Amino acid sequence: MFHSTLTTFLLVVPLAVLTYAFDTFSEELLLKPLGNDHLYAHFQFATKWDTDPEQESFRHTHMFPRALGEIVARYNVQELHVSLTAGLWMYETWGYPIMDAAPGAELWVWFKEDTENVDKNWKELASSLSGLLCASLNFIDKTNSINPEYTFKPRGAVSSPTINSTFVRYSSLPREIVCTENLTPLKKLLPCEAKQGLGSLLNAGHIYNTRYHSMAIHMRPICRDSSCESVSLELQQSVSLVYDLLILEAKHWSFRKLFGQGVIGRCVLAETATIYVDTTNNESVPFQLKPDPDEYVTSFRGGYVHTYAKYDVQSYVMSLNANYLGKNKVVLNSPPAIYANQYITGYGQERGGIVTTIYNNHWSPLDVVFLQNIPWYVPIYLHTLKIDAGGVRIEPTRIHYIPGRQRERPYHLEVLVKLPARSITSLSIDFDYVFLKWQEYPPDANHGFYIGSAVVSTILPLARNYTGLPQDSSTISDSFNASRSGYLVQMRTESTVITLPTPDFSMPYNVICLACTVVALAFGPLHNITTKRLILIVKDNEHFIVKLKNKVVGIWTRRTSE
Amino acid sequence: MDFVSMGRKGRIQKPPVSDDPERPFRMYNIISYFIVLIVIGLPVWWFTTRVYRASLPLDRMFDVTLANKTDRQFGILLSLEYDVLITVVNPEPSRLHVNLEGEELEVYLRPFLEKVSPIADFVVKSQWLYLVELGARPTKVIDHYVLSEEQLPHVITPLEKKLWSHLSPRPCLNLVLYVSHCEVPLYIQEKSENATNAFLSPRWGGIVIINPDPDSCEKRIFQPNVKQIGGILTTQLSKMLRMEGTTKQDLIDLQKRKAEDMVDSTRRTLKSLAELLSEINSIVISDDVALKIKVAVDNADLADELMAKGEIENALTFAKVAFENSEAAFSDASLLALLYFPDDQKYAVYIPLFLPVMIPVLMSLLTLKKWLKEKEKTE
Repeated sequence: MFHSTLTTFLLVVPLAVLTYAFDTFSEELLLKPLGNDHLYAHFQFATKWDTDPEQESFRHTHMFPRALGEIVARYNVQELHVSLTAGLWMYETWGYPIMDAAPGAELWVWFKEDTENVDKNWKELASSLSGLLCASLNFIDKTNSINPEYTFKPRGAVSSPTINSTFVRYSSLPREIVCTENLTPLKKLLPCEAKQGLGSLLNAGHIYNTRYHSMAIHMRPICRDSSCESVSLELQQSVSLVYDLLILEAKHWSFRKLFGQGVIGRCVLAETATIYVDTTNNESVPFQLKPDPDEYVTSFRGGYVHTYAKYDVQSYVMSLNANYLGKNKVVLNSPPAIYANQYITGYGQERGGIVTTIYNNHWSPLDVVFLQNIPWYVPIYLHTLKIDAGGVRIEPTRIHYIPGRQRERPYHLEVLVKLPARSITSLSIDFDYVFLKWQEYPPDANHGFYIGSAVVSTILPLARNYTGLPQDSSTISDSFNASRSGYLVQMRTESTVITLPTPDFSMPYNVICLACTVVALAFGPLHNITTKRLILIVKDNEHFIVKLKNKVVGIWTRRTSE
Repeated sequence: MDFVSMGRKGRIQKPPVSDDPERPFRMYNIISYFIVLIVIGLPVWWFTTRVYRASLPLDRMFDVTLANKTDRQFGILLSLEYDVLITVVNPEPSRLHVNLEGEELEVYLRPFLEKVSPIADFVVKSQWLYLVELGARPTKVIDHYVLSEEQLPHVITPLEKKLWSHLSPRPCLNLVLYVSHCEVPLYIQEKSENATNAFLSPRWGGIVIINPDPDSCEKRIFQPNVKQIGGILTTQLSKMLRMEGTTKQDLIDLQKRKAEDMVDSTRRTLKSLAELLSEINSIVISDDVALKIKVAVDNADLADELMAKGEIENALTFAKVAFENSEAAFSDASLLALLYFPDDQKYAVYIPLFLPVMIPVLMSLLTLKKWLKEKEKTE
């Protein structure tokens, strides 16, 4: 009796305990003209899975990709942010992108609080991701990773208000190249792949013909609703492109010119699939959209108004065209509130300097956090750190500095600075050039060594030229009318290349040749002297030349005597 | 130095040998050059530049009797743990929503997997694929479509491309559930009452084709019969593991077969490693690889003995150890450390040093031979 009730109990209870977590998927495309002749296209694919990230084993997945889920489960990852970028985002002329990304590959991860060996998980996670995305992320290890103290706080929901920065790691590989091999795994991670919906626009031949292209994967836990009693898992995949319309010879752009084809139907698994075109500047640079948009959406954000033309992706093939009306105009560029540049100073191969210039166009002082991850082979000197704003020396609010050790860890510099209003501030620091061991040089040694880009973070009070997503939302439509008290901007500067003194790699060959020649030359006569009998020969015969000389002299004297 | 006069023809007349007091010393010099360079130097150079190989029980590795390859039926890869990946394929999600959860299927598979747990451990995973078609075109027969037997192998390859890779060291058994299109009922071979509409590739996994009934198609929600599917999958798994039934004797038979397979695989691996070592000179055997090989050989012999005595459980444990060690030794990365430094490059580096040195030394041996002959004649 007890046995049968026990089995029925066991059969009933699992079915009750198994609660099926559902996931939703949404895809969006934003097209925004930048200035006169550039077009910004941003694809945003968001999957939200209503499951508890702490408990989820990722063994049974639905639309969330299983391959990524296994990696996240195995390495105890709380938040994952990886991006692969080629090209430079010009903050001065283009404003702020929806998501910032450093040139090359960039990876930063928050691990869960119960992770035992963060460094080991970090290294293995980088290797697994390099297999998933076909990128050489396996070069990320302790010698080029740092744990940022102030810059990279968790973007998702956290359970406790105190954050322990020993569980975060950040690294970047500026030398990394992005190509079709990286796009294909990204497309495969989408539920509809590239067969339907906005994923069908991602054609490698067209989207890599751009001035800037960046693909990113961001995974984090977010609040399920506004009360935030339970947490969901969110996966954002994005592709950001900036087209140079002059190179494309397409002032009047269309989907066919940008992506090679129109959208093949609507992804049936997507809850929402929309296309937004930014028409805010339609008074100054008017263009006409065909077909007519379904509706116009106005967004009041941070004191600025933006209008968007909205299209719902239909189940038939659809394509968008834009015709610019009127004459070509040159639009005056008003730079954004803050932007930064980085460059190398100095000459020769002994000493140099890294200078980061931050331009503050805002009418009030701004607090910024400056982070730089400098490789171990560029030893910097903290006492040479100078912060200069318009000729006036200013003191930083706080400095967080961990010096590097050769071949063990990089130099980690984080500086908190209050920028004066309407100023140009430059942070400069000096470094030495060092010699490396001959096996540490990369295959093309004279190309140089990369120093990664700096990250300048600030919270802007106004949202001019700002398209970033608010922290609690995952889609572009959530950013409309999303006024907040501050808007987070994390700009990346350029990455720089320095030429370290390179040895002559043909020297081992030269040494072998020289040593062998010397030994062979020295050994020969030595052997001869010790093992052969030396005999001096006295010659009777005259030398041939002497004979010839005598003959000529004889003929000459006979001639003169005649 | 001696002086010699040359005659009219310029022929050198050598001074007599008797007034050459330094000759014996020259001969001793030749002998000492020979000893230092060739007798001592050459072996020292050879030993310091050879590829390191720790000592191995090579004769025990070579001298083994292997099971005949044709006797072994093809089956899944040998391992101690497996992943079971259930993939549900819905080619037309716009017209049909399939109400099935991976966890439900796992509940139905659990009893069978627990019974087989002495052999191997299983981890059940599931995923969904959308908008994927089967690679073969079926032929229409009256009111349904049929896939012939020859078309079945061509179904697996395009499907495998879509299944994601795994982050696990365990080999994977794929079980695919294909829910066919609404108005396209698909059957294998011929429609019959007892047919399960499923087929199996012993090395890769199994595919089950499920046809939704017209009612579900109208309502756009399909609830498959999970119990029936679970039964089909269990049958497929037991066929892949080559288990006939589920009685205790079957289990013992399975264990015995597994142990034999493992010992056989161990011996095969070690024999091919021994053959490789004799063919390729630049494979390095470090000390711990040699230790692993020794452990594998010893345990394989021990497992054989125990199986002959009839203690199957213990034999299986030792066979597992032998299998693990042989695989670890064979796929160790340190074996290939010097693979791209072949012998001819080593010689190319040393010949410019040795050749100009050896030639005079070897030529002077002729002088030595002449002197020894003269000495024999005088004595």
